[in-house]
Order: sequence, then C-alpha cells, then structure tokens
Amino acid sequence: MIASTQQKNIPSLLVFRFWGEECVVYNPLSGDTHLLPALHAEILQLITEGIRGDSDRPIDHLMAEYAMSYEEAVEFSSALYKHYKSLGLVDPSWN
Amino acid sequence: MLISDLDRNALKAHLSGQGLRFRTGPFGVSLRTSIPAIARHIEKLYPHSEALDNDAFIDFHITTNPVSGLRRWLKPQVVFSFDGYKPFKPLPLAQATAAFEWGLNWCIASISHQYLIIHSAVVEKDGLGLMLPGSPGSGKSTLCAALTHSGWRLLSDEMALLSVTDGMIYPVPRPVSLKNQSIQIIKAFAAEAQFGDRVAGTTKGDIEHMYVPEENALQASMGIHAKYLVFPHYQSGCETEVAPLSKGRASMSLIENAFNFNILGHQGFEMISDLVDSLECHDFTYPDLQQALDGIEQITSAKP
Repeated sequence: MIASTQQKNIPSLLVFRFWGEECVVYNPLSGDTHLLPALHAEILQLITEGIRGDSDRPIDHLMAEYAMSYEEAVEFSSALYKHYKSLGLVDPSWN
Repeated sequence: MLISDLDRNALKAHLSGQGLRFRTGPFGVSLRTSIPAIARHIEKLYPHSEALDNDAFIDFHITTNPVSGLRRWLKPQVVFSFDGYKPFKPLPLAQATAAFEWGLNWCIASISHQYLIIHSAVVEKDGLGLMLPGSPGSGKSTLCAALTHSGWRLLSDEMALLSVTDGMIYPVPRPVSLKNQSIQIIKAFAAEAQFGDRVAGTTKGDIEHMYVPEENALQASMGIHAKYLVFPHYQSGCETEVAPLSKGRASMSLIENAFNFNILGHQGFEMISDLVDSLECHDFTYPDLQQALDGIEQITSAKP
C-alpha cells in the first residue's frame, strides 16, 4: 500500500499585467482582479515569491530601486503584506 | 437562401412548424413561434439572414409562444424557452419581439464560451474596429445606430464576441435596440432608418428595433481587430470631453463588462490584457448626438 503524502496547499500563481505606472493582477483562486500601482504590484510579486523562499527580497528591492531606508522598506512592505493578506492575495499557509 | 427569399406564407409555416432555421452572426438559430408579431419582426428586420438547411448545425433551439391555458385569454403572455428551458418569467404578449431579442441575447451570453463576450457595441470603418462598452443610459446604442448611418458598419449593438481561438472580434449584426427618446433621435437623424413594431411599457421603457441594411453591417464571417475603445457617457448639458483612459483602468472596465469572464478565468484575463494592449482607450462625455459623432470623428482621426 502506498502511503498518501501531505499535499501542500500551493496557490495558483497570481498573474500580473503591467502598463506603465499601473498593474492589473488576476487571482486564479478567487477569480478576482485588482488594479494596483506598479510599485505595489512589484512588491506583491516579491512577497509571493518570498513566501516560498527569500523573504527579504521586497525589502532589498525597495532599498535598491526606490532608495528607501531599511526601516522604511520594512514598514512599507509590512503594510502591503497586511493589505494583500486581507485581499486573499497572499497567505502564510502557502509556506 | 436568405430569409427574404421565403414568401410570407412559407416563413409562417417554418415558424409555426419545425422552426425557422437561420444564421445570425456565427450562430445557427431555430425559432418556433405562433406569434404573428414575431413573424413580422423576422420578416422585416432579419431579411438578409441566411435561411439554413435542415442538416445545418443549430446553436440555439428557441421557442417563443403564448402561455397556454386560461391566462391566454385573460392576460395574454409570452414565454421564451431555450432547449425546453424557460429562463425568464413570462412577459405580456405585446412584448413578444422584445422577449425574443432579449432571450437570444441571453442564449449567446450564457453558453457561447468559444468567445469572451463583452457588453459593448462594436462598429468598423476601413478595417478599424471601435468598441463602445457602456452601461444603460450611456447612449451606447443610440451612438451605435447613428454611426451605422454615418459610414460605419455594425458588428453588434450589444455584445463584442472576442474569439478565444484568434483574438478577433466577430460580428453578430442584429437589429439595434433603441429605447425611449433614442428612437425619435435616430428617426430625426436618419430619415431612411427602418424600424420594427414599437414595444411599449417594457421594464426598459418603450423599445423599437432598428433594421440594419446589409451594406451597413459587417459580413458575419469576417473578424476584425479593434483599434479604439471608447466608454461613452451621455450627460445632458455637459461640455464634450475626450479623456485618455489608462490601460489598467480600461482593462478593469472591460472585465466588469464581460459576461463570461469568470468562466474563461485566466484565459479571459490574458485575452482582455492582449486586447487592451492594442487599443487606444478613451472616456468620452457628451451632451447630444451631434457632439458625440464629432467626438468619435476626433478620436478616430487623430494620429497616434
């Protein structure tokens, strides 16, 4: 008898379309779409990737590309994380 | 053979017998009805539709008949059915033609998922498509009717059929549904325009369907690429304003206007995104029909 294995609840990848300063994000799990500023969408991409690996990437990105201090970057990415969690776009259980 | 090739008796015999089989846009329709007003409606407004053979594929088997029983005499009503399913409550018999048109819209929007279907008028000139999505009251159908009498060809006054296969928009050029004041506006604008019977007192007000001559409609098999996306907003007494619309907002608005976005899901998202990539997008507020036509001319003649 083959033992069943615990299937991780891996989310379908969010789909991003960027147009200049805007991005529309499609969530295949809910079918919802969201219009976001491009910067916020970039961070969302990095957060969702970070959940699976390098959680500092959003902070590194904000510091490198937007000249934020470490504290500013942490505060900004944390606020976005909470917001996206409330929208169901990120979920810690994916880890 | 076209519907106009059938004489009145033959047309009625098909409608009241096995069903009149005809093509509208890419769809095969079989229509059975004993209601004289619908027979007149088909004869007058669908003369250039191809009458189909018995072995042709039919997408929608439609029956539109009076409600039977005592009600037939006390309060005559019409019931629309599709493959035996009755999606709507009966309507007054005097609204039979509207029930047929609305019912056919419902059939297309509900099951034709080989297309992403967007609630939008679509017209074409010189190979360039103009999409006019809009909520009720935006003036979408009035503007669309006027454009078809101003050198543009009609693909649809109601729904853009964006093919899942090739991303092109395909025509389903049916009569243009005009409501209330719009009827008189178009009759004054285009004296040559022909209309079906007036349907009074519907939930949308008074309705007349405008005949679209064959030369004013795009051939049903010919797909186009849209170039312009214009969200019209009629506002009495306002100043005309043409404002660029960002692609992100245009994308969100098209998604809101898509009947079957949730069914097509990720594929629908990619289709709308690709469509928006190729469009010049505008918000357009106007106070009357002439200003609307001038604004469309301004938008579509501007160099990118």
